[in-house]
Amino acid sequence: MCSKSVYPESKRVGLGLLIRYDWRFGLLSHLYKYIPAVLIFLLSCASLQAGVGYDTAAGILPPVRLSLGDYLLHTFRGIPVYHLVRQNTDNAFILPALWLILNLYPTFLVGGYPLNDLHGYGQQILTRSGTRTRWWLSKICWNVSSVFVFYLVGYAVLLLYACVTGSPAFEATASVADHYFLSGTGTVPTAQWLPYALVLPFLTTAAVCLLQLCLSLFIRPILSYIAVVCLMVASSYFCTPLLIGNCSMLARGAFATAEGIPLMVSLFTLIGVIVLSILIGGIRFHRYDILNKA
Amino acid sequence: MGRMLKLELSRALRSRLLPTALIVGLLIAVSHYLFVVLEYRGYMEAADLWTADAHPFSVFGSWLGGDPFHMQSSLYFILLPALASLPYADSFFLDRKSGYIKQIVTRTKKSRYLAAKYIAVFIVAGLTVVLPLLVNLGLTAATLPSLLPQITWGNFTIGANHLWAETFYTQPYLYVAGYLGLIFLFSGLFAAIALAVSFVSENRFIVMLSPFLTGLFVLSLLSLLGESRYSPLDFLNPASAHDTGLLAILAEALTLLLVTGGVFFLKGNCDDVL
Repeated sequence: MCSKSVYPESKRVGLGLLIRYDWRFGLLSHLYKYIPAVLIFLLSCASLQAGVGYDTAAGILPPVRLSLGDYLLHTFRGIPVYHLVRQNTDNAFILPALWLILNLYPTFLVGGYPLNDLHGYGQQILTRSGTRTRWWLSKICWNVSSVFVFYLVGYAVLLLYACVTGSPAFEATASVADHYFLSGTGTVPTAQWLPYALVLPFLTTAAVCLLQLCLSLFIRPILSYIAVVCLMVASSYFCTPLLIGNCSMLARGAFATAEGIPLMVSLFTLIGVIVLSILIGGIRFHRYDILNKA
Repeated sequence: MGRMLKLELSRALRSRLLPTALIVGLLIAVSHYLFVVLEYRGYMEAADLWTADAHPFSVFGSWLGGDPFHMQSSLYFILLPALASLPYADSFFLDRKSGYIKQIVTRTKKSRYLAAKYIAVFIVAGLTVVLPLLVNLGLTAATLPSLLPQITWGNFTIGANHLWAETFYTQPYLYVAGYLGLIFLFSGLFAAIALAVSFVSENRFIVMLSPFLTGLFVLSLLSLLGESRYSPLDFLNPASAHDTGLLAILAEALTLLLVTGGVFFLKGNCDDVL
């Protein structure tokens, strides 16, 4: 399959223009799709505030001013490592719904757009891209940018909420962390858990989105999305860095539990998945029969 | 109407994604049987627990819909809307996009086509979700004893306030049948969400995933509010430990039916196909 364009160099668009095109038509013109993200982050903050308010009124917790650190720990908590204790109904496995939507909504946002360029008028974009590599790289950039905007919106909501209702400090309240995050984590230094909260959720979602993008070149996009859902559910059940969803759960970080995943292990795994997805997807796309798929 | 329905059903059953959806569901169902049910059987044989006095594993606490401990159960019920919409839920979207709908409405009443479409999507969605559960139930019943559950054993999540709790502890197969009926109903309603979304989205991916996203959003929102028992993705799991009332379940089903059916039929009848 020829990967060089038939258009002369003067008529081909550069990578920069392709990226700007994707940002304009794949991101900025669909900003309304980030409204549910605002809602989810807002509700996460509100639920923590309501819970703490209730416990304070009941005398379980002392009066506190919730900080940005508290909201970060609560939003990206996930669930602690699950230990199967058969026939103990108190030990039923419950999916972490908030964590699931935080990871699956961005994958939904980025799922349908890239392969549109292979259908209808989108093929005009592809043929004017110059090379398939250029097209693929522009889609990678757009994919990562979309995830970045999602987390930018999310962190902005958390920061604003913390400023309005409490404190914008990163330091978590010890009693709140012990009660709502994981028992015994109230004394963990902020510098130890903050990198987990600021870097890993974004990197994990970016890796999952790129993995989905790569998979959608092999199977239908809807099936690649289902595969990603299976990956995330498996990640919440088994604690291993190979199931990359674990990397974004703060309750499974090495700072929170002895069975947790160290920061560097998570980073290397995620970067490995990102690089492999880009390489394998690129190789696959170079051999991709665009005309038959249209 | 009969001929239109027959046509739509035959199109639905010949859909290329129906076998795929069934395979995905069966993979989960069979993997649960292989890794969980057979393990239970091995455990029971090793411990010689083939008497009711020793609280062995029963079908009703071990099949995919009765097991609250293993991943496959959670995975199946979280994927329920996606599996339901996979086979045929995007058919209306594709009919409009390809122009096929113009051929239909020039030969029959549009309302008949819309009704047949809704019913076909509903039925195929329900079958796609229920069949793998039936396979798992059959395999489990062929492997483990159908011992009547006893609340004193303490290994069932069904409490006194749970929906149809008395039926579970007296006629458990009837309980399972009731839940399979609810699952069939909500699977069809979830798939119908995609029909309604077909009017507002130009992207097939969004249309097919809208039921799944809707279900997941509702689950997340209600979990944050501490009321996840009202989420279909929670109460449709027979092993769910929550006490959702039948009235609430039926009210949600009616709401889904009215919203999806209302949007689909009203917009479908009013919109011009050209």
